[in-house]
Amino acid sequence: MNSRYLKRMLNIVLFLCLSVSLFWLGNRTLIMKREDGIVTMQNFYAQEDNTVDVLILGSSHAGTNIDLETLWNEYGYSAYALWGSSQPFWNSYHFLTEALKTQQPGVVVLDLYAASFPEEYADEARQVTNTAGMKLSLNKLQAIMATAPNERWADLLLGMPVWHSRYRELDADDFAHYPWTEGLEDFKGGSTRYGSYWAVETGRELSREITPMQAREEEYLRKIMELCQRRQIPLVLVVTPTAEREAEQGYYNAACAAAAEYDVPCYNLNTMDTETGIATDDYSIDNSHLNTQGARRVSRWLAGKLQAYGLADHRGDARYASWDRFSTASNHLYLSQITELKDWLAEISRDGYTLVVCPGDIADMTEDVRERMSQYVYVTVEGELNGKIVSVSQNDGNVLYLNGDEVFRTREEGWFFAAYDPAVGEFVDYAMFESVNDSWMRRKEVLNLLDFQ
Amino acid sequence: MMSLTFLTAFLPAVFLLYWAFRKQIPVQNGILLAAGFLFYGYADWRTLLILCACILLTYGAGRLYERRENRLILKAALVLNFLILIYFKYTNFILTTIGLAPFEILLPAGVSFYVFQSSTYLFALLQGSGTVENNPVNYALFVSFFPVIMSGPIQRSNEFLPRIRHEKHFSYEQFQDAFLLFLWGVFLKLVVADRLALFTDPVFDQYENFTGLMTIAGIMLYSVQIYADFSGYSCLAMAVAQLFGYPLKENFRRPYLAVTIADFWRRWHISLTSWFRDYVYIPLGGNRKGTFRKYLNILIVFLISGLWHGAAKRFILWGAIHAFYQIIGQATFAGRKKITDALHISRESTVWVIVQRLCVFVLTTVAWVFFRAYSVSAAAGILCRTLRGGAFDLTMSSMDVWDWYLSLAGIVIMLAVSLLQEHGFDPDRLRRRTWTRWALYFGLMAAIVIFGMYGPGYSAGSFIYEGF
Repeated sequence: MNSRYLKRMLNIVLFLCLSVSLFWLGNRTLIMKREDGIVTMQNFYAQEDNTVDVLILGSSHAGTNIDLETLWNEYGYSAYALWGSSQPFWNSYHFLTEALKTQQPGVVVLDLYAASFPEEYADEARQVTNTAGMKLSLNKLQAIMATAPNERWADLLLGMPVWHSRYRELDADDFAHYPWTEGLEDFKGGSTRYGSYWAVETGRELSREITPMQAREEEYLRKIMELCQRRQIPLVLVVTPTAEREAEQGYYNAACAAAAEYDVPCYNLNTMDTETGIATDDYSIDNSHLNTQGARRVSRWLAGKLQAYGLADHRGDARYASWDRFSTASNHLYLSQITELKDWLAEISRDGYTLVVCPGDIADMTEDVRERMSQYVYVTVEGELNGKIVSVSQNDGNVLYLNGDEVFRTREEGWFFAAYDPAVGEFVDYAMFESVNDSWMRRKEVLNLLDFQ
Repeated sequence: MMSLTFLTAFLPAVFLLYWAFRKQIPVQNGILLAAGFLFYGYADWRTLLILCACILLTYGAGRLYERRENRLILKAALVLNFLILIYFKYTNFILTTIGLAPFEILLPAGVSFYVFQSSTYLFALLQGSGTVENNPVNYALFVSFFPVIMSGPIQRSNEFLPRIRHEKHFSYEQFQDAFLLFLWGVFLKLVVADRLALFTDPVFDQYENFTGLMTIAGIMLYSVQIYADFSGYSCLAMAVAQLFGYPLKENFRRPYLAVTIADFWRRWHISLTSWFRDYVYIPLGGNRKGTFRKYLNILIVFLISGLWHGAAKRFILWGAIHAFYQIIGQATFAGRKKITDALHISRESTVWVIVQRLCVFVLTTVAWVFFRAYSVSAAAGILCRTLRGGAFDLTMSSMDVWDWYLSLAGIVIMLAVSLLQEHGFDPDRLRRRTWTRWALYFGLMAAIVIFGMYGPGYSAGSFIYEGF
């Protein structure tokens, strides 16, 4: 081959490589950074090989009704919730297949909500979120073919047709999800939620009848069980507690009946309120999702079951430091979500944070809170935290200083609270609370004026 | 020609197969013919029967003429060939015009194009400028050459058939040119034309909701849209044809830089305009039979051209308006020249050229209103709307600020390219340098992939001229 042809061949190869690279870069930048399937899968690839001991699969119930922070902080279990919004079993199956390429979990936990899905395909948005985060592979191709009718395959495989017009809405976060971005491994798929807004259907005898699952859902549930058997990975099927229960009960019975054929344990926590302690309305944020307090209870129950699988306690192991960082970030996030002072104070106490208070008028504080405050060690006006001098000033609002530097300033007057996490040496939340009635105080929206300077 | 199936499966497969049989011309022609039939019949196999009928009719007439040497055969075949077009495209129009109920008739895509293309063969034989094609595969390939069958450009038999018979050579440079031309065509279609449609479609379809200024903006942007759409398709056709060793003549030569309406028609849809010139205007006597006959001939040509574009009164009116422009333009030319001379206005000066170009743009834009509106009365309503005042309120359109910026950028790029080409810039200069060529490749690809109008809920398949 003469040099002219060689040069042309090289040109073509280089051109194709560059085109593919740029297409990939554009795809990665423009893709929706949704944590209900896409980022969940993308960041799974960032986990160090063979570190995920508990792999949790399923729909949003898997992502919210089990608290990974509890599994880590209280038991040392390294868990990852590889879930997707309204995820059918065929997507869970392909997520599992993908996960097993790099991980050998000690146990797989599958949430069974998908057993109640009647649709042949999920809606178009969920078709995207349940496949888009996967790397290009034969498994992804098979996942797409299982996920959508064939006229959608090309769009889902290429990605760009779906999200290319996101150039209009890109923000800094869109440029922070490349494989080389630091800290992706700190994401574990779990999330926190504060609040309780839904009455739970407790005390009712749930149906024991079996309602057949949609054929493909059953097919893929069986495939998941067979895959785990082939790979000799213990599988636990769980119906996490939901506020509304009756409608899906027959499908869950069918799923558990199928599980029995494979000797796979199947727990319907909607029938186990006493064991989980989810019998009151305090733990449901909506009709089918628990708040973090509820998820913590479920996690404790689950951890009890997982003990049978001989999982190791990895706390203190440097290979698992990302679970420490996840846990810290998760606690910080949850604290910032809390709107009621007594819950906020309880969380501060649980997490071992130091409370800094800029006192307002004592009359503004409810009796209940006054009593609670007496239980806390807190800094007022000036004190020392981890060798750093903390001081507060209440001239024209509230100002908080750390070693003389302003870290928070607001013009709002009244009781001002800040939570200091000694583990990271930072303030992790700032809040003001106002009395709503005689029994509770609610968080006020306050601006940190320093953010706007 | 922009579907994923076409780009990732059909085109690469046909391309590789075609060049695998380099120097084996009959095999290559057979491959292209099969590809043409597959491409054309893919959407609806029944339309393939009509295409085959057209091929058999015109090919058979040629063979019969060779034996009998009776020109009546060719004339009869011509009439029958046009009857195919008339039946499938105009029967319902005629029925509804005379007050009868229409019935369901299949409208084969591209029928106007391939009937006109095949008729060039019969015309060439009648005029003695062409020879009879004995090879049925070659002839069928001429009529069904897939890059042009749907929307042209309309090919001439005496230019195209010799190319079919001769060996084709493929070169790396040829591929580079074709790739760049293809990207440019897709850019015009997906980035410019289809984005403008976001604004122009509502303006034309619900003009009552728009102010006068917004309507003016809408109809002016439609002029850009139809140009970007159709010239974009022509670029695709030329690029794909080039991949198989068939260089096609340009179909658009910067029409909005024309200084007269006659000049516009020398630049717009050149293959169709020249078809009408050679096979209608000149046979009618052209400009050789006095001024009145010349004007009458112009009127006839443009009325037929209007009808060719669509079976509706608005298309006929669109043609009539262009005929009127031309006749008035020619009738007043001497007077206008006297005025400009008296005012010492140089007809070559830049300012005067810009004024003329603007006039042509405005005149063609007014005519396009009849072309695009859903009826003659709607077109009249839209034009009346332009006379009203009202705010230029961009929030009235369904385009957001990004759409406006991108549309503006697309128009500026189109204009810049047109002006460069008009002033003799040789695009080959860009191709010769690797970095400029690659910059163009990647720039166009990025623009298409990110800013193109495609994806779920959007069909990229329909070109305006595919309707004809």
